[in-house]
Amino acid sequence: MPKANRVPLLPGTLEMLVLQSLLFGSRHGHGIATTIQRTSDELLLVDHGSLYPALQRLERAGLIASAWGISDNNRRARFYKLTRAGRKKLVAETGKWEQLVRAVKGVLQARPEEEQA
Amino acid sequence: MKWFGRGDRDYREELDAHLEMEVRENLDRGMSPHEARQAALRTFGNALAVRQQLAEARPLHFWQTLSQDVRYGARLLKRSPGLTATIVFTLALAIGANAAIFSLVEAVLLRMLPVREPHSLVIVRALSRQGARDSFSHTDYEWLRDHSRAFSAISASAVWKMTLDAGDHKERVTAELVSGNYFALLGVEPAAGRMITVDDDHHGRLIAVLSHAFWQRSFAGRDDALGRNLRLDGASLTIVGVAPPGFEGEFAGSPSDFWIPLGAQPALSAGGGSTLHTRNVSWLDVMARLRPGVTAAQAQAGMQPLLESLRADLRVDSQNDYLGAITIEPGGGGLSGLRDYYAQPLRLLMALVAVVLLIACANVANLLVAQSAARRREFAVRLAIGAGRARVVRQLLTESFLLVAMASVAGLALADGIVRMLLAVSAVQGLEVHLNRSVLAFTVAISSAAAVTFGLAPALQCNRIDPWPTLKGRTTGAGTGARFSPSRLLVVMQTALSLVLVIASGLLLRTLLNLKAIDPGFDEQVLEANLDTSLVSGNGVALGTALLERLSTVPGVERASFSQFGFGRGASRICCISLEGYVPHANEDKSVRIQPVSAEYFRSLSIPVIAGRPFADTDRNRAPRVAIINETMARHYFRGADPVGKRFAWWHTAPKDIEIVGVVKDAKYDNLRQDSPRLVYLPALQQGSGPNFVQIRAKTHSERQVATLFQNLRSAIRAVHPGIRIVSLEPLSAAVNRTLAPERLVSWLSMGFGIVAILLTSVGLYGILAYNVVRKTKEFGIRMALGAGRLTIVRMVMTEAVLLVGIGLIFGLAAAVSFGNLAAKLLFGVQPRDTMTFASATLILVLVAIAAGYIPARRATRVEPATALRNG
Repeated sequence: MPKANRVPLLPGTLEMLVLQSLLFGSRHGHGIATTIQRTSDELLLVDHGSLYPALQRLERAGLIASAWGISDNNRRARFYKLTRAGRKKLVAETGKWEQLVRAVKGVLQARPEEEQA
Repeated sequence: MKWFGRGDRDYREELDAHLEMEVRENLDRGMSPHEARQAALRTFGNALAVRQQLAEARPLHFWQTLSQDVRYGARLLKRSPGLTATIVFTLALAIGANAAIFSLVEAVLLRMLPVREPHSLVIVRALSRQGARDSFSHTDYEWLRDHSRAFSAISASAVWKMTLDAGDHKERVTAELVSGNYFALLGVEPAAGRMITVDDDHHGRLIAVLSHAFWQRSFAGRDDALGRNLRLDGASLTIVGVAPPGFEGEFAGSPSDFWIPLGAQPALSAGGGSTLHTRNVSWLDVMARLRPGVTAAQAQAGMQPLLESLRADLRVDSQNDYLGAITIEPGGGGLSGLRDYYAQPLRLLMALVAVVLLIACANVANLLVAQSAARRREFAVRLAIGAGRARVVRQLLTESFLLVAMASVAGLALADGIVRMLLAVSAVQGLEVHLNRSVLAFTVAISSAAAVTFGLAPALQCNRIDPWPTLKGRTTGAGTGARFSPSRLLVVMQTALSLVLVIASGLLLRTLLNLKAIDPGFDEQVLEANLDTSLVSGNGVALGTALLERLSTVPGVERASFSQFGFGRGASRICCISLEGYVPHANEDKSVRIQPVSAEYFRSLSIPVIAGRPFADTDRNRAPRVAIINETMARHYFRGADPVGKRFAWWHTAPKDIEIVGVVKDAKYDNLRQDSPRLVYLPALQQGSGPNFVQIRAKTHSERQVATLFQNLRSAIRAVHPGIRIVSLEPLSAAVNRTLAPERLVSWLSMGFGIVAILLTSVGLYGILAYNVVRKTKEFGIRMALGAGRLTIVRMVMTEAVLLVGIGLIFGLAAAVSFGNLAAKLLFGVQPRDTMTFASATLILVLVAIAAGYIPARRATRVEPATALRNG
């Protein structure tokens, strides 16, 4: 069940999360959405409506590739996988994100004494 | 519209897949189908939800959804190759068998002559007082032609075997003498030259129209054949035309080489005189075309006054035999001896093989029902995400049609092989069987019917699915647990149909065995040669004597004799015998059969002479006329008195100067079924009849020696005269066997069908019992935990088997009774409701039921209560 305290994604992070979710193998759209939700401990809410435009943008940028395949329940579904460029991009993005998080965290946790010193 | 650069459809399918997965998950979380759907749509946001709803409301194009269904179905079938292969194999077998039998039915019963509007053609047939087939005299034909009003045209024909002098060699040909309106009536147009006209007939012109095949064979299809002459015994015919390819006359299975005007008959019968304009010789078959709007029944009714006028005019004597009735029969298929012989067996086989198809369909339906039980979740999801029930049913039917399409292709290939095998086994001659357009149409029709039949069962099952409990996993497999679920009904039906088939094959097999056990009254090991001596000019008796002399010198030959007719090939009825001191009653059949034989005939065939003497070499030309009669005839005319020394004549006004010198034991004559006819043997030397059939009693029957004997016999016969054609040389047992061809065909096939039916039924029964055992594992576990013994468990499983089979057997017995009546005419020495056959067939099916129930029952007793309860 969706948790009441779910948080919407920050703009621009969806692409990174999609790339991350494809790191360990190809997935279809629904699989990507559920992976993100599950690994975020059901905290992140993926708007399925914006997932597909995002997938399209990534594919056009050559970061992911897609092909039709058969899902577990014998349904035709489109599967996405990470390209080499996508993998590099993910590493780069992850690095940037971690820098950003550290920075933002540092700012948010700064104590007034240090500021004065 | 393009979304994200990919096609609209492509995109929609991707979203559909996503939506479906979401719905599934929501359902797994315990939402109701409606909630699940709404929640799934919500995750897309509003705009998309609206768009999606719009998309679903707009029906997809029929072909688009069809191709979707087909692709989906194909994937599904590929995923369970075992099941698919089983189904396709079962159906292919049944469809193949049906197509094979139908192609025989088509060739023998349904095929029409290649003429204009064959359906309005009728055969006008004369029957004797005894109901035997007869022909019309030329005068009677003309009278009918001028007086009947039911027909727009009425033609006559007669088939003659003639000898053609081709210059370097002589050749036997089949000529058909036809009335002048024959070709006009049939609507057959010439391929070259012209056809025979009324004028040709009237003037008795010596002309011929060649069949296309004969033209190709004898004239290599050259145009200069027209105007050339055909030289026959004593006459010459001018070729005026060629018939179109495919048209071979109205005698199906015996093609005519050329056609001659009826009027030419006197010129063609060297010294035989004219049989035109006389009532004394009946030699014509009559065909007619019904006037538009007149039915065959009306024509038949209109025939009665004509018949009475005709009969009023006949001589008192022959009134007893000639023209007992005139019948109107459908004529579009032409005349066919094969049809008379095989119509009954083929109809029966068609019925039997249709039953096999029904059983196969029941089996496939059962498999599909079981599979659809496993697919309930899938259907529930489809229903939940908004598919209509009709759409789901259509999906199921599409899958059935896919299966059937594969099976029909395999079946047709199989049918080809089956037909070849049948023709080889049954030794049917002169039959052209192909898998033509009618056979294909038939196959498509029965296959589609089959697809709907077995596709509907799981579809109905699916219609009862309520998505809600099914998805929540609360189902106990409703439908399969109900008292009268489709699969149970199917097993009951299968059992009933199988019983019918097994009983049928039992009755037919016993018929065959009964016939085989009959003593024909002669030694079947004797070899018989059928000779065509028509190309040998001169005295038949001299030829026969020379042959016997020569054959007696062949090493290994004990004795040889000859006769005019052979077993099963006698067309020797003669009417009307008149005996000393015997007064026939009013309606008595005064015809008897005759058989001219050489002196040694009875000894070489081991037919015992029970009174008087056999023929001697002194019974020849100028000696007193003598005859030997068989027991049946002695009983009929003399009732215990001694016939030896009594005299008779062939006509009541003739002097009774033929003396009966002996009586022999009865021997079968036409076939094994019929009792011996009243038969008069005549001395061949006295009759001047030639050696059409030669009997050879060999001293040895060891295989190797027989092979050399055959060679020696052939060369001995040829040495007597090179013009003798040996049509056949075989033991009499082979000739006897040939008359059993229809019985053999029917009994072997029905046995094959019976075995297939039993196999399919036992698989069906096993399937349902095994499934029930799996379903009830928990129940068994509880019962065993509560102390139920193995026997109780076995009884639970077997009770179901016995119940299903029992109900099926009751229906089956009822059906078998009515089937027996259908087959009564084909049976011999066994009643249509033969208790033994019914009882043993029932026993067989009961045993099959026990065998089918045994394995599931054993599995049920092996249930470990603890495991069953934990997993249940």
